[in-house]
Amino acid sequence: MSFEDWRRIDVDQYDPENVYVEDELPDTRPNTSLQDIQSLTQTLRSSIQRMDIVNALKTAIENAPYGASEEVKDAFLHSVYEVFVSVKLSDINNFIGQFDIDSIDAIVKFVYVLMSKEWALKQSSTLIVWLDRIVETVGDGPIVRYLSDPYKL
Amino acid sequence: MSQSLKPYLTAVRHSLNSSLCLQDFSSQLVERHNYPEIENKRSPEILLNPLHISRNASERVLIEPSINSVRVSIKIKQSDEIEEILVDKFTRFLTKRAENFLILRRVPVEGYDISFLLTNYHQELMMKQKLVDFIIEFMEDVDKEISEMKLFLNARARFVAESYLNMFD
Repeated sequence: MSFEDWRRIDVDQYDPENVYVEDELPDTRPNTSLQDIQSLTQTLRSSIQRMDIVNALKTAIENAPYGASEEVKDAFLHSVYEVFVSVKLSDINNFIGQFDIDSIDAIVKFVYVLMSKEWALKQSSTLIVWLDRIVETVGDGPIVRYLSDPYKL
Repeated sequence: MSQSLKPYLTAVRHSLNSSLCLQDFSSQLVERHNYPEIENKRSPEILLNPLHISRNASERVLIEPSINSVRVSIKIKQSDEIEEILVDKFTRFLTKRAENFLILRRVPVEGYDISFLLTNYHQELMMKQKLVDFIIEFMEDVDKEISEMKLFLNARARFVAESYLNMFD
């Protein structure tokens, strides 16, 4: 290299602090496949038919494919979406009372992520009612925790 | 107020309340610079998860929080072509005068009609509660304003057409 253009050398690239390394998260499931999601969808659907929404959402929260590929996440969100919209608006309050606070945090996250999807906009008024009722019962906490949540869907 | 508007507005209000927790933050990349981090998005560790709130396909809000700034983008309801024109004119009128509105962004975020940029300086200058109230009130009023303008426009068009066609009577 000629010494004429030494000003053009990007020295910042050798700075170890220049690159942002994401935290390693302990509970991700990067290996979840589409088959896993399909079987999960089946379980969720049978729960919906029995109107067992609480258990359906709990299994969904346990099996959420954090860190998996976009395709898998999208399939997962589709099945969670089915659970959310199968609930009657007047029943939402009863269900929310049966979740612990960690599950509610996850539900708020699902709701926000679903509202960002184009395909979920048709029924997004139901999602908003979920959010509204949750805030009514437990306050702003879940929203604040979602803001800095590293487990993304 | 209609049945689905209330949960929508409360959702926006609570999301704004939670995300408006700002502090002064100098740039990590350029010395002596201090800009809204949400606008340059070059340090991912100080950006927070964006909040999407949608009532339906044509009405939604995007809140993008970061450590020292929050960007709020609103998509206003447009059900037909007249409303599209009215919303376009209305938002252009406002964004041209963005200087006087302090928190208004000159260019809306893509996919939305109007954007606000709230920084920690605005929060120091104004009360947080009032800022949130203002945005909620804006969302309520803009729908009213647009439908009022539409009615007025239609009435005017009818009057003009009548008086024009009277000439040929």
